Amino acid sequence: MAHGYELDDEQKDLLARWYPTVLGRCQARLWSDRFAAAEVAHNVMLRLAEELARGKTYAVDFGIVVFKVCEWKVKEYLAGRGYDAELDADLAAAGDPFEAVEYEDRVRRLAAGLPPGQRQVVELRLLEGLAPDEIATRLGIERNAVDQRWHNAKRTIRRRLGDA
Amino acid sequence: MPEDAVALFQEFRARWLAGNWPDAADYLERAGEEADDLALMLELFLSRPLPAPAPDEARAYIDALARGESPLLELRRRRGIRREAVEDFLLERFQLDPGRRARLKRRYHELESGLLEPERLSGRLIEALSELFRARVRNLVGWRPPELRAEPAYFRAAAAPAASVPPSPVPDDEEDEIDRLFLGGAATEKEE
Repeated sequence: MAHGYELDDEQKDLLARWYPTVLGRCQARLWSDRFAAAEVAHNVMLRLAEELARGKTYAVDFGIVVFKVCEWKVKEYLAGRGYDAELDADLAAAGDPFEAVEYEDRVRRLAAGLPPGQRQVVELRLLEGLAPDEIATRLGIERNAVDQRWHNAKRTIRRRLGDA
Repeated sequence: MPEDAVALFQEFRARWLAGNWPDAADYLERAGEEADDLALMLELFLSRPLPAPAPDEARAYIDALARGESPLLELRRRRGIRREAVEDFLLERFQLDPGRRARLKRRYHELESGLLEPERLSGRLIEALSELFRARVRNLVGWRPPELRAEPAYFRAAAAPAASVPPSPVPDDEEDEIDRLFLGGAATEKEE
């Protein structure tokens, strides 16, 4: 017995356009297990389909909803348990991760809040595309120092992405 | 040989912006020890949907999801491929014994019905089906029928029950190439 959702063509098209992004985001977050990433992405799509099917409307851009549901489902997976947040309450407190949609803008915005040393490394790695050894040469510091700054910066950026 | 995360990201981004749908998981595999860096780049990049109409594969997936059916089944329907043709393809591709067709039929039915654990599927099988369906089958095989989806698979302790699968006339006590393809997982790949 199939248990589907009554979606019109517009809703299906909306979900189909978002699915590649959802899958890619889940794969990026859970890159060590592509099967888990695919299943988490599927759970994201099920949640979105369920909400659209019951006529849910949002006061924010649908992309923000997608972003939040991705985060919840990833957290569910990482915690190994259900994550029962109220969508509306969570959205009210959400920042707008789509305010600056270009990759470079997002990097700069996230790097701006980092300590200066980490910000330099992030900009050189993510915007100029330098390898860690090249960054060390450019900044005149040891490779270990680059690795340490990069590690700390990634942790902070991921936390901010999760909190957005 | 792992590839440079920045070069991989630039390639991924160019393909994405060109309206293709590159598989992030493939790129992450290619990145090797730089996968964590690439993952962050992809996460920062993937913040909006494709500007163009959704890829056919994504539409098939959503149609299946809306009906509560298997996305693999929906893809096969869309491609106009009968199940027997899939069996023929696999028999030839892997030089399987035609006398074991009943077992192949049962295993494929289990796969299409969401009753097999995706981790146990061999890479060779997934590659072959991806070629046949012109789709990234690896991302579809984790689907579970709604009656088995009381909670996500990663919360389940035990494997999905296979009680609804009709019994096979082929004895189950003898492992063969079909079992290695459908149940052998990646471990059997190195033997090739």
